[in-house]
Amino acid sequence: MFHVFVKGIDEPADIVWDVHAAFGRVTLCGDDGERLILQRVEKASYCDSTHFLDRNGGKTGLMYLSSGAKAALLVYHCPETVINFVEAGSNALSALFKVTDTGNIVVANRKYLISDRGALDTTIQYRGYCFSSVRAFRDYLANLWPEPPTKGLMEAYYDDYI
Amino acid sequence: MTTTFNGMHVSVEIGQGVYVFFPESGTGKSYLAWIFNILCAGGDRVASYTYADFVRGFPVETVLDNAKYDIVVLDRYDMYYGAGIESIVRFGKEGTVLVDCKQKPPFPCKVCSTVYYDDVLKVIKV
Repeated sequence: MFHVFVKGIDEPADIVWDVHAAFGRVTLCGDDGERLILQRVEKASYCDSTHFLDRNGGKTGLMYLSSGAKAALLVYHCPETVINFVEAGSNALSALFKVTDTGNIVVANRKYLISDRGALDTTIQYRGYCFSSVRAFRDYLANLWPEPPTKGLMEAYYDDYI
Repeated sequence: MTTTFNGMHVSVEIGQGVYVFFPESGTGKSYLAWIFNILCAGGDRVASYTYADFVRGFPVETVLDNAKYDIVVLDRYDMYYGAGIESIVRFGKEGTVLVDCKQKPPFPCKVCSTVYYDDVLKVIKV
C-alpha cells in the first residue's frame, strides 16, 4: 500500500525532508527497480554502486542525480520511511508506482498528471480516501482534484474507490 | 543569454521576469544551476542559489541583485519555500529569475521549461 500525504494538510511528524542528504546513505545494487527509475526519470542507466551513465553516456556520480530520482530511490529502498516527494515531478511519481507497491511519501498540494502504464497493483491512501489502483488515483488527480472523489462525481469509477 | 560550457551549448531564451520550471524531474535544472555557479565565479552576470546556501545561512537576497546579475537560478526552492518573495519579484522587473518550485509558487510568475539533450541545454518559455 502507498500512503500519500500532502504537505501542509496531513503530513506526519517524522519525515525525511532533505532527500539529497538522506540519499548519501543509499547504496545502489543495480536491480530492475533502480534501473527503471534511472531510465524513466533521468534517461540514464545504471553503471555501478556509485555511478550512473547519464543521458549522454557519461559516467556520473550518484550525487548528480535529480531530486526526483533520489526521492524515488529512497522510497524504493526505505518503504517504511516517510520521504519528502515534494521536490519530485510527476514523472518521478509515475516511475515510483512502476517499481514498488509500498511506500510513504509527502507530495505537494497540487495536481499531478501521472501515468499508470506499467504500474504495479497497489492501493493508494490519499487525504482519507483509498484508491484501489494507480489508474483510479491517476483518473482522480486528472479529472477531479481537488474535489473529493464522491460517488456522484465519479460514477464510472465508483468501484475503484474503497 | 547564450554560452558554451565544456562543450554544452547553454542558452536562456526568455526575457526578463520570474519563471517557474515545469514540474518534472531530471530536466537539467540543477545542472543549469551548477553551470551558473561556475560562470558566476568567472565574472558572468549569472548566479544560482540552492538549499545548501540557505542552510549555510546565506540569504537568498544576496543573489537577487540587479546590479550584479541578469539571470539567477533558484534551485530546490521547495526547501526554502517562501524566502525572498519581495526580492524575487523586484529582481524579475529587470532581470530573469528561474525558480525550481514544484509547489504552488508564492509569487506571480510564468512557466518555463528546459530542452536538454546531447550537447544542448536551453531554457524556453512554455
